[in-house]
Amino acid sequence: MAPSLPATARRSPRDPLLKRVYRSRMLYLMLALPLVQYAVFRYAPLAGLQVAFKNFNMFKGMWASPWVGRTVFREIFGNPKFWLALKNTVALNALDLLFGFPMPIILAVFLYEMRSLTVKRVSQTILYLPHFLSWIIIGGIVTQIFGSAGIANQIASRLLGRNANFLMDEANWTIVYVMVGVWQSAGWGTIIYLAAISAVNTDLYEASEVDGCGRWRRIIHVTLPCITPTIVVMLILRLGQMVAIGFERPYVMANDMVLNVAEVISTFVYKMGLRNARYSFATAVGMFGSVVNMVFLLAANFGAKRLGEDGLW
Amino acid sequence: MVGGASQAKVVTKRPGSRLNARRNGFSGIIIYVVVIGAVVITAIPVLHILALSMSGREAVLARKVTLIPRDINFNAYTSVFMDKSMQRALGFSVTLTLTYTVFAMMGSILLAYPLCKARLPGRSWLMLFILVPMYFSGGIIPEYLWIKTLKLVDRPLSLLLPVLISTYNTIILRNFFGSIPPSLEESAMIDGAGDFTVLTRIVLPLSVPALATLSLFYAVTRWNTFADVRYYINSTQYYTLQMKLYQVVFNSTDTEVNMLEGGRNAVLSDTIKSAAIVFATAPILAVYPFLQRYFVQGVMIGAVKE
Repeated sequence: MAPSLPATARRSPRDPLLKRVYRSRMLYLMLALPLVQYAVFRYAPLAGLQVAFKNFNMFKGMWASPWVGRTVFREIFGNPKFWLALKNTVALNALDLLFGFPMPIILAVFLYEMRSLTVKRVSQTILYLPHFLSWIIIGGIVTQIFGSAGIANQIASRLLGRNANFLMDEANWTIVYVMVGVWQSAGWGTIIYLAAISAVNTDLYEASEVDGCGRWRRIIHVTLPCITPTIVVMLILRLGQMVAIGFERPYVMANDMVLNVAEVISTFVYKMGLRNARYSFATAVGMFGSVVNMVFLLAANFGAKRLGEDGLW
Repeated sequence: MVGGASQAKVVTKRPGSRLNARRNGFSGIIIYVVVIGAVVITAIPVLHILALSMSGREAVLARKVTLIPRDINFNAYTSVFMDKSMQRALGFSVTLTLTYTVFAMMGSILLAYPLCKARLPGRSWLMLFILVPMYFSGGIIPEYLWIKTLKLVDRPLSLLLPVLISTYNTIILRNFFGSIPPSLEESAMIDGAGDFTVLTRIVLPLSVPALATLSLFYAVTRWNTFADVRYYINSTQYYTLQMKLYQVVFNSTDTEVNMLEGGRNAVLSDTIKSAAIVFATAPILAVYPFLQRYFVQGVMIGAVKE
């Protein structure tokens, strides 16, 4: 790059730091407000974590509330509801992974194999759509379809001769939860794999053709091996999020009848903290989740980097 | 370092057409069946809701409606459109989304541009500073307590300021800025342009596709997000459309919600709920054709790394 810099000497790293800083003053000025946003809204709230080690009193405020050491953590580790929420979080994520992970790969391979570009484009347009619907809209659709008056129950009662309460029964609820996840994300997930497939050297396809491969053998011996690095990285990144769960999907889909399987860390923290005002307890639960999640994320990123990929960023 | 534009086109080439010519046998049928099956499964729930929303109340109660509306009428839509609280939520959501998108884009640009400059002293520390919160955050309660300390609870600012800059989007933008040939900026700098002039006169005009993509990222996220409204907002005047929809679908005994049907029925009918769902989906559907193109590009820009 150096030869293309007409002012190489001026930018020499041997310039004193202050001089270089002064030269970049405009850049720092641009950075100022965004960095303030990070400081105020991402770093400052971390001070609130002290609530997990205090007996928080809203009237005294967080700084004046008395320290209680690890009492709150002992309390959450002794609380079966906490373990249940943790277990459900991991279980729902594992099911999502099991059923949600292969679908985009299969769809991407098949979409790529489609001969009609028109059919393919229309299919993609429809398959991507659920990604843009909010969880409230999806939750609304789910209750309309799987609720006790919904069409799913109607079909089930005709076929089975009895009512199937999809959203009231723990096993059925779990199935619906996982299905909805696949429904929402399978199409969108194909994009990254389609990009990987389109980067495959077409010579390989032609060589396989010469060797007499049919379509299935081409998929198994050329396409899939060529996109395996992408698959592995996506898998590792997913594994890094095994203890992280968004708030909206479980919150919108859950109901009081199925809390044994539907209560997850995020909804548990919300209820304990913001509804029941047990701030110390909820902060400790959230903090535990954050720390475990961070370990998973860092491990996943490290794993992806070891494989020669760029990791998350 | 690959320019976003060249990578943005997703899959138009297929295995050579010579190859395809012979292949439309049994395997081709299976492929079509699977893909079209997936398309149908994706579309059916939405079509069912559409049918419910346009059907008569009695037909819906009698469970006669599947994919084709019965006793077609648009009464439910009239009720939803005419409802004051629905209009208010729609207006608030539109205002919030537009304001948010403008400020979020400004924030991302101002953050991304300096960070793509290798000559910026301390760049790696600054990168670390913005990356750390992606891995570790305080969580719901510390953030709530902080918003409360700032006296932002139940104010629209609580839906703008904490989420103002997305680190993920910013890094996408930074990578895009980084892919612009440095010689362009250098020649401008020799002509006496400062960093700010280079940004506004050279970098931004070259980045219009990326900026459009990110604006849509921001707008859709703000439009769809519900969690922070749930946490921070109590007054119905600051309900977003999503929050309002949540009340309609999941809390239909709420008095304000009940007025949707003129308070005639103890529980809202499925027709009204479906119409409300469609009402909240319509804006997304309206911009979806643009979205799809840009979003696919955006995912690819994001996948391109230095």
